[in-house]
Amino acid sequence: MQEALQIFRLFLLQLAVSAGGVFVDVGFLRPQLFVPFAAYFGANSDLPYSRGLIAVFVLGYLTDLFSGNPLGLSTFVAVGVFVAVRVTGLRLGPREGLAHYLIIFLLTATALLVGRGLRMLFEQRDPVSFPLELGEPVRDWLRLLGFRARVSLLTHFLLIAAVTSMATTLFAPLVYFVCMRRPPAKGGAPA
Amino acid sequence: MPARRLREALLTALLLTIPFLVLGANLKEPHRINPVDRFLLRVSVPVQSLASRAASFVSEGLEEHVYHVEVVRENRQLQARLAYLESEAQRHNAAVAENERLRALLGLRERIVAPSVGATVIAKDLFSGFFRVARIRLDRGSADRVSPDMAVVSPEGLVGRVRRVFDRYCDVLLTVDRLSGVDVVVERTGARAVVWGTDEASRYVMEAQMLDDSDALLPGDLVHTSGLGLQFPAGILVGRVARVLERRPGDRQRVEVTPSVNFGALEEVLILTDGARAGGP
Repeated sequence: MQEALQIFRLFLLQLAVSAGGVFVDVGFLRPQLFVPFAAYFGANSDLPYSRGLIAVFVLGYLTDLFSGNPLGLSTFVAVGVFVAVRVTGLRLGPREGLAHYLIIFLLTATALLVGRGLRMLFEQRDPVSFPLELGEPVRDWLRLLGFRARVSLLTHFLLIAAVTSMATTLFAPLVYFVCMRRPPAKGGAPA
Repeated sequence: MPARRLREALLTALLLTIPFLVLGANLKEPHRINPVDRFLLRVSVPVQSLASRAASFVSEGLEEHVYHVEVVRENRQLQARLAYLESEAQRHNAAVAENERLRALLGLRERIVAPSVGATVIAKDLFSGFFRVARIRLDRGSADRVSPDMAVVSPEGLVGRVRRVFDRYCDVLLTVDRLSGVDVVVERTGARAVVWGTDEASRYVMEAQMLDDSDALLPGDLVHTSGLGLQFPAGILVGRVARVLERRPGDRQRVEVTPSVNFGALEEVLILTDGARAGGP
């Protein structure tokens, strides 16, 4: 029940962030909030492994259903992130300082790369054609910033992955406080 | 413990394999789909359809909200624009009204044919508790060759006379002030009288006293300055008889006179700089 409530809060947060992105017209910069969420579940040693695994599976599946991603992509990534964090015993949370932000950044970037790799595997498309759909805005930015040189499409994707990971990392503390923070225990401390 | 670990490992493998296979079934080209993919698609499509409907519902709601926000924003902009246009219209109306007043004043100046100086009302003293003007202040003073007792007129009629003069402004004693007395003549009969201010706090009113009752005054009679007393030029409208207060046979009669000038709306006036020598309208 507690996990269901946390997933619901995350969806509300994702909805608010997406709506905010639409308002400020940076819709292509979508923080992948389910990644830090799955990571926090993985890092929570109080949560039984099976329960956490099923919870992130449901979360990933719902993310796929509502995000427009191919069904299974976010589910696979969410379960993968949970397992990776739990198996390696990483400690996560804003109190962990810079290391926490670095881990979230690397996890998100890895998740994006794995997701892209899976798409390439199943779609069997030209490896350099896939970033086109997301690369255009970044290419425009680069031109505006004065980069006249031709930048490879793979570089575009890496830039998108870096920017998306950065955005996700920036939102990670919000995910932690909105979804993971537990209400204070009722009653006073034992005498 | 090993059984638990085995169970967890199996669950992990299962929950990683299912999305992997579902993803493959969803991304593969149709000619590469195998029976397992077909089965997974058949199972997942109804759920996906339900979810897409729910997502459409949410996104449509969100779009409607965004549209609503846009409408509210546009409404605010239109309201601001309307307020601006209304203020412009008010300024335009004020300019038209001022133009009309100045035209009337110009006409008065041409009718009076006497040295005069135009002045603007810069302050009005009100009776406390009532919105009746007790005194007015004009933007002309001794620097403009204005001196005490000069007549002050408006297109509507006699306003009063200059009482105190300062360098750049002067105060005017209104005809309704208790200290004001004007020698007048009744237009209909030609009878003479003196009109005194009453200083009533709640209304503008004067009182005329006639020395005899040979020419009975009637409500509606117009009263003009007589030109006697060397204070005001003759023929300036002072007011209109409102009602008869007292009439004794063979004796005086007292009437109430309403001033022709609306002191509350007064904005521009003429100061007659040549006193009674000026020719009336």
